Amino acid sequence: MSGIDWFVLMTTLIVIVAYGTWKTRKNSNLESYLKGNNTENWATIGLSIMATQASAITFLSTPGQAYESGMGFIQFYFGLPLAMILISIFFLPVYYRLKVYTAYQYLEERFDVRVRSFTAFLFLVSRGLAAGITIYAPSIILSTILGWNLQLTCLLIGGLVIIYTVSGGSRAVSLTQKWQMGIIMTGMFIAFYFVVESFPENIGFMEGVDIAGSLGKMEIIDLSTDLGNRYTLLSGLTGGLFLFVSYFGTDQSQVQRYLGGKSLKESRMGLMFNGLLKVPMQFFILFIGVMVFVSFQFNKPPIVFNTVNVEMTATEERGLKAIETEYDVVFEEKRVLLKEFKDSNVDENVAIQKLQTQQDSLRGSYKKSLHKIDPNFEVKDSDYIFLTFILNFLPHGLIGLLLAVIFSAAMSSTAGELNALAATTTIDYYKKFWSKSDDDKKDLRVSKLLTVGWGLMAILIALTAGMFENLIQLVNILGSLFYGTILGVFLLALFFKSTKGTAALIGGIVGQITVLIVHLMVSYEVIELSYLMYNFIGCGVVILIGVITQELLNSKS
Amino acid sequence: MSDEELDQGLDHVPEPEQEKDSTNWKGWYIGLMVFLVVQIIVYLWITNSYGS
Repeated sequence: MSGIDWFVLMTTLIVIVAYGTWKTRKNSNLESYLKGNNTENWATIGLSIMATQASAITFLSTPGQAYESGMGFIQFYFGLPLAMILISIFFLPVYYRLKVYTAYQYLEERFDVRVRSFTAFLFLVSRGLAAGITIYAPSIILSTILGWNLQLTCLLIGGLVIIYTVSGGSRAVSLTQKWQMGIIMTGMFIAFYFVVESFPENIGFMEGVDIAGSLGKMEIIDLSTDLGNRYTLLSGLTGGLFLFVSYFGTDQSQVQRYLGGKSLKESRMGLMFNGLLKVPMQFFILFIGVMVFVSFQFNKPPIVFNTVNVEMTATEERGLKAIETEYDVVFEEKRVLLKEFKDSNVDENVAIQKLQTQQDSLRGSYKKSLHKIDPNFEVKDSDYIFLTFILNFLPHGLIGLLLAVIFSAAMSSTAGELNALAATTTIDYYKKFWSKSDDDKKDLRVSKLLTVGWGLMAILIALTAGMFENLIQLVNILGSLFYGTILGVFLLALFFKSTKGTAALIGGIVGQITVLIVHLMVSYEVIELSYLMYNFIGCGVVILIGVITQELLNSKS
Repeated sequence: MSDEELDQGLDHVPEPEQEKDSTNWKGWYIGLMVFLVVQIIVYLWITNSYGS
């Protein structure tokens, strides 16, 4: 990284933090701090919702995922527009009518305080852990590739977020997210331009798409009904729908974004905005990954993308060198064929596909060998692909901007999470069980302190996350472990009038235990199931047990 | 679930203050679904065009 990259990166970050802090410095009460006095318009809400969901990993991992497996991941998002509609019809009006600060307040109105505390607790556990990983995941990638100090990177991201989130609360989060999304999308469009620019002269954009298609990267829709397949049209429209209704409808980090709207209409419009743009946006990010794949058909990629620092014996080194040499030969042979690529030349295309399979297999063997030599070597290197491209193919200055994109994404989602964690702890626990006074100034101070507390907790988790490899894997699917249960409780509340608090609580507990058992069975390969289906199972069990328990209680009494 | 059941499930929520909103939300919802279906069709077409 050059001086100009550092300048662009630091200026972008400092300006955003300073803007968010200055613009929202006058927070006089808890309502303005947690709900921003209901001043946001639909555009701010929509961008804020998108920014909260899109973490740095979205922009680092998604192109890498497309590079490895093609565009199929887009199916995961098909349930999202439908989820926006359902939330707009059923959840949003209820939150507005009750004038709640958190989604879980509604559950006390409908059931009792036990159900409210139970779901708020599930949220705090899942989101509290996720906030740490939101900081850790990009930090480990940036520190590996750029040689930065991991702890300092975590502290920089976490520290900057704490400054404006504590100072300006919900409004600062929404305002900064709007600008962060602007930087993110500008950066991604610039990256896309430079990816296509990196193709050889005789290969245009359409030829690039044809090459990607002939190598299987443009297979977007999978119509199979195999529940073990993670990304299919069916899993996206069912499991994805449950996940997104739960995430956007009941996760406070999202609910808080649209509860800050000027009116019900503005909040609904914000949801529609997200429903319209999310799928095309994800398509675009995945497509960048596919185009990076095409670029690396002509510009030789490293055999592994994460910097290797493994000590090995001479024999082991010789074995790896042999794989590298073969990899180079296969790459060159394929490059020669691709330079004369014609979509209609079937024989040649089959030869190219065979060479690609051979190249992938050599890459796999190399990584396996490295893992054998050093079990700490991370075999999955797809998260590093996009960053490798940025550092090698973008001019100085723009590298700084793209790094600002990654930092902005990390900060925007972390800010949304900290803000929501503090709001839930303040409203659902502190105000409910400890603070009986109406001292607004004191409540505001407590809420700010809780934001600092959650921020420090997130940094602490980020600093220690490297010690718990399994935890990181778990956090990747953490949402699905809890969302089904939380959604089930909310659906019981909204649509099953006869169900009361005790039945809902029993349903919630049984549903949560069921999901954890299913996850254990999947982990130990007893059954094969996409984690998206956890949402469906959790939700279904909560409703079923809730309704049956209520029937039993009714018949007893 | 019938409209009647839905209404019953929501009747614990107090009546909202009258809000002036003339937006055609039904139109928005249908439009959003049509947009999704169109995208899926386009993606299917791309998949079939490059399918092995």
